[in-house]
Amino acid sequence: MMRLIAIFKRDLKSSFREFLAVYIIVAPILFAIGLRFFIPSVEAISYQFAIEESLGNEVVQEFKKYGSVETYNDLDKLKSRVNKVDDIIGITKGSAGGYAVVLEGNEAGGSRYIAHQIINRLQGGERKEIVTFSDIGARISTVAIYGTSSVILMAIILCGIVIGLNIIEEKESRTISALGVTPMHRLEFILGKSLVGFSLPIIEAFIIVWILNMTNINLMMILVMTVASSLIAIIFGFLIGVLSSNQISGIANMKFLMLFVSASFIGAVALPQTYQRFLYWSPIYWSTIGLNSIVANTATWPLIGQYTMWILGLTILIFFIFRKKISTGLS
Amino acid sequence: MIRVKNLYHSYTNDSNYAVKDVSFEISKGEIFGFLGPSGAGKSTTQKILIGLLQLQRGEVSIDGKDIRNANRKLFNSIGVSFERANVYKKLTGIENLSFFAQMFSVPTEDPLKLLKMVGLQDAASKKASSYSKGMLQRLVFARSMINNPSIWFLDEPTSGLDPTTTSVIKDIIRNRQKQGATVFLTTHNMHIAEELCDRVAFITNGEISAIDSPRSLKLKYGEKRVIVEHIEAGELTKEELSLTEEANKERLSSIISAGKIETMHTQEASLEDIFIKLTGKELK
Ligand SMILES: Nc1ncnc2c1ncn2[C@@H]1O[C@H](COP(=O)(O)OP(=O)(O)OP(=O)(O)O)[C@@H](O)[C@H]1O
Ligand SMILES: [Mg+2]
Repeated sequence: MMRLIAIFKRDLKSSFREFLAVYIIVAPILFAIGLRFFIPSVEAISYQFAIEESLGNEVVQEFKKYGSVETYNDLDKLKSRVNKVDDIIGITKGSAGGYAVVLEGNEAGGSRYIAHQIINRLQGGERKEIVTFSDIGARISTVAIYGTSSVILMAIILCGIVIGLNIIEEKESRTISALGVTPMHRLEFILGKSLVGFSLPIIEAFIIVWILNMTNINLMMILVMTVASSLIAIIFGFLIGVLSSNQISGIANMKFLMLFVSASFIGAVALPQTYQRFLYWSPIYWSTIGLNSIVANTATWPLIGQYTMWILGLTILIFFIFRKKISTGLS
Repeated sequence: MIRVKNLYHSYTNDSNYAVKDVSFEISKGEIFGFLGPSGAGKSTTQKILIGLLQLQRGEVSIDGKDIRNANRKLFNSIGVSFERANVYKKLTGIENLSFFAQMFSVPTEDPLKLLKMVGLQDAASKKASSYSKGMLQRLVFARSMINNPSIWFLDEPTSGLDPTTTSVIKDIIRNRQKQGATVFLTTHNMHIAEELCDRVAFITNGEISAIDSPRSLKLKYGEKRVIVEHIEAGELTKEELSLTEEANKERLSSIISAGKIETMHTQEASLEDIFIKLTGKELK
């Protein structure tokens, strides 16, 4: 056990002293921040309204049903609030009585209609239109769902690549022979090297969820899916490690792997339901639909259990196919 | 302590042997020198003994245990200094030693103390990527002592080191021998072998041609010679004469009876001369 921790700590230390590894670890976090700032609709599931106080409490209460409300008694203050980076819709008194909607101009597609529909309803419109509103809401959050799960998946896969880089380092510096003349067992080496691939994705997944303000999703499920998906990333990491004699060929192999991962992800997201079964062989497919359902809040434990079993089964299969290669590559 | 019997090794898995029918025994507390030119099979033999290369043919036992079914705990009492410095370049000297210390399940040495012994105290907290070749060599040497090994494998521990550092390393090896360590020393430096080793083996092309103490090898194969400087016909002449050849012996006695000798030195054959004589090969 002590050796596992020692190997893990050494790998962390070494990775954080290597530009490429740091970049690989930090990239998903940067992507999450980018997603947060450049696609404000990540948060669009709950809308924000800035309402002129003089419109009265009834109006404020109605808008509160659909999102959070800030009230302003000064029109200029309201306008400057609307101009801030996030999506917030201003509602003021119209010049000819009634309501006016104040927009910044770059709001996500559905925002302006939602305001119109709520106003419509306030003025005695049909309930039917409000239903359309929830459709719009769901469509906008698709970006948030796929964005979040792809960034989490990216973090998991990239941490596997960090393992690969650490193994390449051991091979290039021949330190693996120095370890070969200590009481360390090969299994301890493999498990110790794997710890990076288990721990970093968990930390990163929670950071990503927090950055994207997705904290209302089931975090326990995120944990389970992340750990299960890490298994496959770890095997990929070891494969990259044993197949690459140096960092350059490691990066070449990594591109290959990324192609496979993105194909599985895009397939899972874009293929019609009837063709999805052609992706069942790919553990990344199961990770993708698992993460998507958790982020969309449609996941149930039996479903997550089923996805996890698929991932475990396929991972074990892949491990047995490449077991010899990994084992001989490490000696 | 270490027994090797009829050891063969082929990297190509054919009859092209890098090591051929090598047998020797090393007793406890002995420094055993493995001498031979580059490519002779020294490192190959060492790698088989420490389990880095698979034992293909022959028998090897360490401390009475067949290495084929040795427990990994055996490595708690083994130290290895590699010929090519294999350290973590992104870690400092201290970090390298501390990391390896954690791999052993026996009490380990203080890393800084070891680095001081080999003169690396100033570089202890610098990354190994900034070390020179000689510094790296000393770092792997220091690392090989981290678990206080009683069986110590040293592959070219002094190659590329200056004379002062070389003598520091020699002293460390001698001291550890006094504390009871058994040493397998691979080198092509005859002076080190002559000074340190209780016994040496000569190896060329994967085969051992002689095993004995440096002293007996010299007595057995070294021709005693004498160098005389004497005045002959008013001029200083220098002659080298064998003490075993009849003609040379007569010549020497005639010089002595002439009584005009300035200097006279007996000349012992060096281990290197004997190596060349026995193997027909230069070292290096
Ligand atoms: N990994 C390898 N694959 C194939 N052949 C090898 C390998 N390592 C060594 N050899 C060959 O085996 C022979 C013995 O090499 P070895 O490294 O044991 O020599 P050495 O006596 O240690 O030489 P040096 O003094 O240069 O270190 C050489 O002919 C070498 O080319
Ligand atoms: Mg060698």
